[in-house]
Amino acid sequence: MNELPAVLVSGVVSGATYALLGLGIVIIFRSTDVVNFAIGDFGTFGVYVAFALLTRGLPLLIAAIAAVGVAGLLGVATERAVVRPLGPGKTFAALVLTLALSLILVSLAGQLFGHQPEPFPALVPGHVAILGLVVAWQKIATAALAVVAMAVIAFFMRFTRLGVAMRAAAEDHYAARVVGINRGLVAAIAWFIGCALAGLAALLLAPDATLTVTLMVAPLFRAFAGVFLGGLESMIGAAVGGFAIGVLDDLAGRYVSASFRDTFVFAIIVLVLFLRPAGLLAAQHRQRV
Amino acid sequence: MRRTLLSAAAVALLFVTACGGQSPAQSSGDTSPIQLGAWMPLTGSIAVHGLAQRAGGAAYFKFLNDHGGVHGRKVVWNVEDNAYDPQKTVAAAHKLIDQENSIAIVGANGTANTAAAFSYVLDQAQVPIIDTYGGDSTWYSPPKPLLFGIQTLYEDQMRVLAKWALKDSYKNIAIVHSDPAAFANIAKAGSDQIKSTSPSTNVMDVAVKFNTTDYAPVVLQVRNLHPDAVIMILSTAEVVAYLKQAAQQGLKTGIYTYAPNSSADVIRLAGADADGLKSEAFTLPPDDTSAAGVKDFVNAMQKYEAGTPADYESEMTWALCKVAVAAISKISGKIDKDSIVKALQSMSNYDSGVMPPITFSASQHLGASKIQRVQLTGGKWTLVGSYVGADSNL
Repeated sequence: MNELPAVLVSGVVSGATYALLGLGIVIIFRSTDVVNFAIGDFGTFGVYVAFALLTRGLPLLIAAIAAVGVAGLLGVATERAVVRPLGPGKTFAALVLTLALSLILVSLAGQLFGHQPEPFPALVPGHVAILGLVVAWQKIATAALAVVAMAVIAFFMRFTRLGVAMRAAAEDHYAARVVGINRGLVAAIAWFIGCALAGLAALLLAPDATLTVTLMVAPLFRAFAGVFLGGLESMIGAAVGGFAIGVLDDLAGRYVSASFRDTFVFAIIVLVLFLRPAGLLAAQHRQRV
Repeated sequence: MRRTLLSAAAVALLFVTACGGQSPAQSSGDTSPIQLGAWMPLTGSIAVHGLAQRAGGAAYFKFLNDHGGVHGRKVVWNVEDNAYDPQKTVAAAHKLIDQENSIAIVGANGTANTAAAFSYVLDQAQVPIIDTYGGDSTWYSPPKPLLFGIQTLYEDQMRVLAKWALKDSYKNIAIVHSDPAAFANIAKAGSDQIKSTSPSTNVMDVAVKFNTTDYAPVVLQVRNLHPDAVIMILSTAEVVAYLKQAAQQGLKTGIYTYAPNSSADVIRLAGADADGLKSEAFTLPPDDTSAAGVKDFVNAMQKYEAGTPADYESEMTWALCKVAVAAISKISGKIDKDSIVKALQSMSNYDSGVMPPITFSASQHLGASKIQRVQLTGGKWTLVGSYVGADSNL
């Protein structure tokens, strides 16, 4: 039986989580020049809050909204309290701080909610067979959301005043200030949207993978791979890269070796970056020297 | 009346055994606490195992101390988080021995992680490692002077699983295992067992990257091999992921796994998808309190570790700690590595009340070799036959 279609479907639905996370990473990077390594843990923390609300009898929809909101607000708080005080241009310091914050959040979530894995209900119940693979509606919803989010955010960044302001602030924050862009507001919005997307990704992943404090560690790893594959400055590239990583990962797992999935995927990424250092879909910057 | 008296006598005897019999004549006059140590994964993806195991050990030592400790001395069990990382395990060993003055490592977790600490603990610090939750055949053959264990070897568990699957008349058996050597060696033991017992049986090896969360490609791969039975040598989280994905894809096979996965977490997280799972257990079922030893364990868990279910993993660590303390309790003078080794080597047919009798000697540092088969039916682990060993006929 030819299982290639089933493997491709499996890869696309797995890649949707990486695409959502990748979008979050890129929107923060493009607006504030910060690579946020804690973004996955913001999402996980949000889902834990949702889990706590569920166990207290609140409806799933309310808990889900809370998860996304908490992740976004954690992002805003981090930008305001941790990243902004560093001042502009401190890219490396901000990166290290988000790494530290990631470790702290994992530990804090463990202390507050426990390290015991918890079952989390699906937002969209049921399954459907597609090309020989039984796929949860939840995963299809994730893929659809990733595509919609990609389109909406691309539109927002390109055609709205706020989106253009966010890009301008990232490009040159002094010039942006001169033309009246409120950089603080732009940064807060970018961090909220980026981290809320991570909350959404975690929320959609948790029913499948069970809720643990390390829920987003492996997906974040792959999301970053997708971002570098597609291009750190490209919204569409990040999302397409996420989907591509999902497909490559599953192809490697099925046809190469399940124990060499990461090796195979990252070997391809190294090859791609060697040929196109800015990523597959990022604009190529050329300078005459 | 007579039955009541007999029960009371049995409980009293068990209590005296458990607490080592605090005879003043045996006391060395030292009233300071006895420091023991352990490392476990309390954070990270394997924390589900470590947390349950810590709860079982902690319940035992609280129970012990509430009943007078060992010769009137309290026993402190210091547990360090190793996050299932060999380097962190070595760091934990240094802290436990250098800073907390642990005289023995008791009930620690992990084969590869514990082995990483051998050089420092056994050779350099000369501290005994007793009753690890883990271990392989190289640990005990030839015996290492300061290393003792009571957990039936994973390879032997795998051989029993292989025989069980053959007894169930399966002819195409896939062994799905994590890729690190510790898991691959267990899988190989099963593969060899099947080939030697039934050469016509088809055995398929499916290695999976450790800590895989997306099991869709793995299940597709297994489905393509058309097995009629699958033996899983994976962590609990991965067993759950496999079971859920296999159920979703409609893959119906006989399913087997080994003792570390006989836990309440599999039931809680996989739900109905785990029904029918055949597994193994080191101890008597924790939900059957007709045995006095199990009743003590369950009562202690409810009293001291109420937030953690009394399941197989916590019960095993209870047993690991209880056997170690039973040996230490036999020491009448100074408690040091030599007296601990001597006490362990003189232990013969010790009954912990929750697992088969334990016997050590100078040449035999692995005190147990049998395992109890269990099956998950209707959300409950039920016994299948009695204790069996790798060389038993099922």
